[in-house]
Amino acid sequence: MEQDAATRVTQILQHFGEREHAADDLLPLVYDQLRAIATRRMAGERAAHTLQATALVHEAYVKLIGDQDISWENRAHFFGAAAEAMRRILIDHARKRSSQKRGGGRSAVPMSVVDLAEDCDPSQVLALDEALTNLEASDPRAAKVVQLRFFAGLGVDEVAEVLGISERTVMREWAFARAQLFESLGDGGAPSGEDAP
Amino acid sequence: MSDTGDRTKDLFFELLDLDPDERTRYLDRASAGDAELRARVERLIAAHDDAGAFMSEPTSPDAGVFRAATPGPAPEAHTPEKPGDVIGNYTLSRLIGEGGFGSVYLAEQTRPVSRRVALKLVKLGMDTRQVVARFEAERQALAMMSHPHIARVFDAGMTGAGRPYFVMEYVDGEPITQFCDRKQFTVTERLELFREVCMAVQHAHQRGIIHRDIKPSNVLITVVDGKAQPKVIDFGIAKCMGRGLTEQTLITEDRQMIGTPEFMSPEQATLSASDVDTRTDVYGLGVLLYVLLCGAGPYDEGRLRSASFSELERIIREEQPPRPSQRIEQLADQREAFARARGVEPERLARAVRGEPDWIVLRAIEKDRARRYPTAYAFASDIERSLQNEPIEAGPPSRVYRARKFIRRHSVGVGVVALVAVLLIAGVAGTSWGLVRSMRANEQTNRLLVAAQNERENATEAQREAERRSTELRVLADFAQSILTGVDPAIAQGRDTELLMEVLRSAGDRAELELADSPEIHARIRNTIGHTFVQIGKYPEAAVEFQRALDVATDAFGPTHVDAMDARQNLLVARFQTGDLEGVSEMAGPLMADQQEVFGERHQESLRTERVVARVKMSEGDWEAAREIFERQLPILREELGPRDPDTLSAMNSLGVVYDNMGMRDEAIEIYEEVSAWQQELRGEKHPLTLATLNNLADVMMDDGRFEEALPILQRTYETKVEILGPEHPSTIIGGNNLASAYGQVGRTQEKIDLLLEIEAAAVRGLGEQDMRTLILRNNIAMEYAKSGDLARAEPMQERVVAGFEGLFGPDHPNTLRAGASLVGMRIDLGHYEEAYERITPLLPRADEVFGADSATAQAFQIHYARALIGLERYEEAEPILDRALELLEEDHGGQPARIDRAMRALAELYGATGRADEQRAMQARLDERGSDPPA
Repeated sequence: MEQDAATRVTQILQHFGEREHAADDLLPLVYDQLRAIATRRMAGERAAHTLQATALVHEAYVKLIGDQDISWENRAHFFGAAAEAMRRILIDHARKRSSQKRGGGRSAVPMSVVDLAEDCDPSQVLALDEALTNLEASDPRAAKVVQLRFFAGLGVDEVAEVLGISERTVMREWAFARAQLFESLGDGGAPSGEDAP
Repeated sequence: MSDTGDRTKDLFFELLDLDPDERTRYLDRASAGDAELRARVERLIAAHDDAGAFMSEPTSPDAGVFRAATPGPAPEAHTPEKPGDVIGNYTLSRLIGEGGFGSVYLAEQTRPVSRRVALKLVKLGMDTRQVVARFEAERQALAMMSHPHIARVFDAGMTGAGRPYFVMEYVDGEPITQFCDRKQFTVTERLELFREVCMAVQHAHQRGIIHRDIKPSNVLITVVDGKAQPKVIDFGIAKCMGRGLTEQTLITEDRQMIGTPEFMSPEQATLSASDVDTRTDVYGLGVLLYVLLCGAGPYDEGRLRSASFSELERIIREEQPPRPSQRIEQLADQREAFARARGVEPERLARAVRGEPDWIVLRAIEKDRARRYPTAYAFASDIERSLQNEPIEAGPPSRVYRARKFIRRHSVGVGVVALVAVLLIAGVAGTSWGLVRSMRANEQTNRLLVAAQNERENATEAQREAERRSTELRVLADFAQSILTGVDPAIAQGRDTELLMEVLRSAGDRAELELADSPEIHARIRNTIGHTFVQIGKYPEAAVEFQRALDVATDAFGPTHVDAMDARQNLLVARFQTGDLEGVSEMAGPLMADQQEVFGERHQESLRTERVVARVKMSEGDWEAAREIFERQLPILREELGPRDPDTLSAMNSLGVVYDNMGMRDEAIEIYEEVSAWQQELRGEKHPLTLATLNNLADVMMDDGRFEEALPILQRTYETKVEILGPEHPSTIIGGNNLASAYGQVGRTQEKIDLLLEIEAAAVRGLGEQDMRTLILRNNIAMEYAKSGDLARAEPMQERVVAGFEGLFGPDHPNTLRAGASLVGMRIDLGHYEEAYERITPLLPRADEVFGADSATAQAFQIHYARALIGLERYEEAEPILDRALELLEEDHGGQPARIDRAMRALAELYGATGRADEQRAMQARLDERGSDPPA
C-alpha cells in the first residue's frame, strides 16, 4: 500500500502542471501518510508526546518521495500539501477532543488518535485555525508562510525556497502573521499573559 | 489584499527595523492623521513584542505552542526543586549537573538503607506515567547488571509535581575525555582505559541492555587506589525516556541543538527507524574513542549546530568522516594543545594515531552497522590486538566498498559515479564493436573452445580469438572497476558538478595508463568522457577529450575508422560550443567529405556536421548561407527523424532565427509558431524551451509591429512565469517588463503603468528596494508618468531612483548620471529651474569625464543645463552652450533626433525671449521641417 501511495504521489507531482485537480489529489495521500505515521508512533514504544511537525513531515517525505531527485516546484507542492494535511490532522483531533470533553473527560481519548495538542485547550487550536483562515483571506502569502513554518515545520530557508521568496521576506511575513494571529487569539477570549500590558 | 492592509503591513515592517524607542516618533509621522491605521499597527507591534514563544515551535504543544497566550502552565513548573526538598525516600543535597533532559542532584537516601545517590530529575514535558512504566519493565534487567564499571540504577518514580526521576549510584568522577587530557594520557594509555569501557558495555549487552546514549559525560572516571576506574552511568535511562535521550534533546525552539548530536548513530538519526541494537552502542563508543584520540568529534561542531534538521540527518547518515589522524591535521590550530594533552610532540600525534587507531575507529563508526564491530567485545579485542602488536581485524576501509556505498546512497538523486561508469560502459557498448560483442564473445568462449577441439586446424586461431575477446571484456570491467574505486567519497562533499568533473578527469588519466594497449576502448572511453563534459556544459574540457580520442583512434586505425569519425564529429561540436569557429571551419570540410563517402549523402552524421557549419555561418552573419543549408535539410529531417524530433525542432528554431535576422518576419513567425506548438505538445506549456521559443515569437511580432498579436503571447508567458517561478522571480519581472512595453506600444498606457507598478512591487519584495532591476523599473515608471504629464508623481519617484543608483553604483556611474539627467529634465518641465540648476551643475564635469566631453550623451546634460539657464533668464550663458551642442549632435549624423529637437526648441525659446523674432521663426521652420512633434 505504502509503495502504492508513493508511486501515486510521484505520478501526481510529475504531472502536476498538466492535471486539473493535482493539489486535491495529492492532499489525501499525504494526509493518510502523515496520520499513519503519527498513529504508529503513538502505538509504538516512542513517546509520542513530542510529536513534531518537522519529524512527521520529514518522515512522510522519506516514505512518499524517498531519495528521488524532484524539482523544487514539486517539493513546493509536496510541502504545501503536507502543511495543509498537518493542519487538518491537528484540527480534526482538536474537534474530536473537544467533543469528547463534553462527553466525559480526557481518558476517553483513544491512543490511536494523533496526539498533537494534548496539553492545550482544543478550543484554542480551533481558534487558531479560524484566525489563520481569516488571515488566508486577507493576506494569503503571510498565511502560507505560517502554514509551512508552523504545520510543516519548514525552516526559514526552506520556506523561502518553496515560495520562491527571500529569507528576509519570510522572516518579515512570519513576524507579521504571528503578530496578527497572536492579536486575534487574544481578542478571541484566550486570556492574555499576566504581564502583558 | 486591501490597500489599508498593505499600508498596515508596510508600516509594520518599517517599524520592525527600528529600535523600540524610535517607533513612536516614526509612527506619529508615518500615520499622520490616520488614527485607525495607527491603532492597528500599534496593536500589531505590541502583539509582536508580546508573542514571545507563541508558535515558535512547529505544532508541538509541550514546547508551548500557546505558551505566551495561555499564562500559567502547571504551577509546579515555577517551583524548581532545591536542596533540602524531599522526593520519595530521598533528600536533595545539592545540584551536581544540568542538561537538556533536566537536572541531577546529589541526594541522601534514608530508607531502607542510608546512602548517597545521584537523583536525576527529568524536565517536564515527558509523559511521566509512561517513563515510570517503562522503568518498571526494565527494572528486572537493570538489576541483573552488576559490573564494577557500570553505575547502577536503583529506582525511578514520580515527583509530586509529576516529573519523573531516576535514582542511580553516585559516581564522583569526571568525564573520560577531560580526565585523560588533564592527566596527559598517551594514545596507548587512552586505548587501554577505553578498552575497559568497552568491556563494561559488553557486560550490559549480554543482559540485553543497550545504553543508546554513550558520550563523554556518561563515561566517568574515578581514581581508586591510584588507578583510573571508568564508570558508565545512565544505563537504561534512554530507553525509559522512550526515544533516545539524544533524540529527545535534539530539537528545541527554532531547531537549536542543545544535546550533542555528534554521538548519535546513523540509525538513530533516521526518524523512521526505531530499532537500535548493541551496534548502536558500538557506534557511540567509536565516536567516544574518536574524541579521545583527536580532541574533537568526526564532524565540525559548529556546522552540526547550525545545520538544519534535515542537513544534520544527512551529515550523520551520509557524510564520510575523516580519519582521526586527518582530523588532527585539520585542527591544526588546536593541535599543539591536543598533542600536549596526549603527552607527545605535535608532529608525532598524527603519526601515533595514523594506521591502526585510525582503522579501528573507522570500523566502529561505519554508517552501515553490519560493517561495524558486531559487539563491544570485538571492538575491545581489536584494541587489545593492536596494543599487543598483533594483526588487527579492521583494515583501511575498502575504497571499493565506500565507493559502492556512495553510489547506492545517490542512486536516484545524483548517481554521479554510477552514472559515469554506466556511461562509460554504455558508450563503449553502444556500437557493434563494444562490450556487447565482447560479452557475446565471452559466452561463446566455451563453445569456441569445444569447437576448437573438433577442428584442430582452427584450434589455435579460435582460441586466440576467444581469448582476445575475453581479454577485451576483462579490460573493460577492470577499467570500470578502477573508476569506481578511484573516487574518494571525500570528493563527494563538494557540488555535484565538481564531483563529476573530478571523476571524469580521473577516468581520463586512468584510461591513459590502463588502456594503452586497447586503443579501441581507449578512444571510446575518451569520447564518452567528452560527452559527459558536454552534458554539464564543460565544452573546453570536452574538446580536450575528443581530441585525445581522435588522436588515439587515428594513430591506431586511421582517420576514417568509425571511432575516429565519431571523435571528429564530437570535436567539431565542442569547438563550436567553445566559440572556436576557425577550428570548426578548418575541420568541417574534410569531415563532411569523409562522412559522405563512408555513410552516404543523406546520412545523419554528415547532415549534423553541415548544421554545425550553418550555425557557424549564423555566428558570422552569413544568413544566406545558413538559410540555404537549413532549408535544404529540413524536409530530410522531417522525413527521416519526424517533425517532433529534437534535432528537427532545433533546426527549425535556427531557421526561424535566420529568417528573423534576414527581416523575413512572416516566415520567422510561421516557423516559431510551429516549433512552439510542437514544444507545447512534447514538453508542456511551461517548459523553459517552450517559453523561450514563445519569447522569440513575441519578439519578432513586436519588431514587425504586430503588437496586438504579440500581446497575448507575452501575457501568457508572463502568467506562466508568475505561476511557476513566482511573481518575484527575476525572469518573471523581466517578462513583465516586456509585456508592459507591449502595452505601451498598443496604447494601453494605463495597463502599462499598472503592470509596471505590479512588477515593481514584486521586485521590491523579491529583489529588495535597492536592487538594480527594481530601480530600473522605477525609472521606467517615472518616465511613464513624466510622459503622461504627471510630473508631480514622476519627479519624487525619479529622485529616489537617482539616490538608489548612487548608493548602488556610486555617483559617477553612467546609470546614476543618466537617471540624474532625467530628473533634471522633469524639474525643468515642472518649472523648478533653481532646483534643476543646482542638480545639473555638479553633473556636468562628471558627464564630460564619463561619456567624453564631445559625446552626444554629455551634450544631453549640457542641453538640460542650458534649459535651466533659460528658465533663470540667463540667456547669454545658455546660447553658446546650445549652439555647440547642436553643432556636435548634427555632426554625429543626427544620431539622437530627440536631443537635436530639444536643443532646437530651447534655442527657439531663447530667441523668442530675447526678442530675436527672425531667428526664432527660422529655427521653428527647421523644427517643422524635421517633422517632430512638439513636446507634450
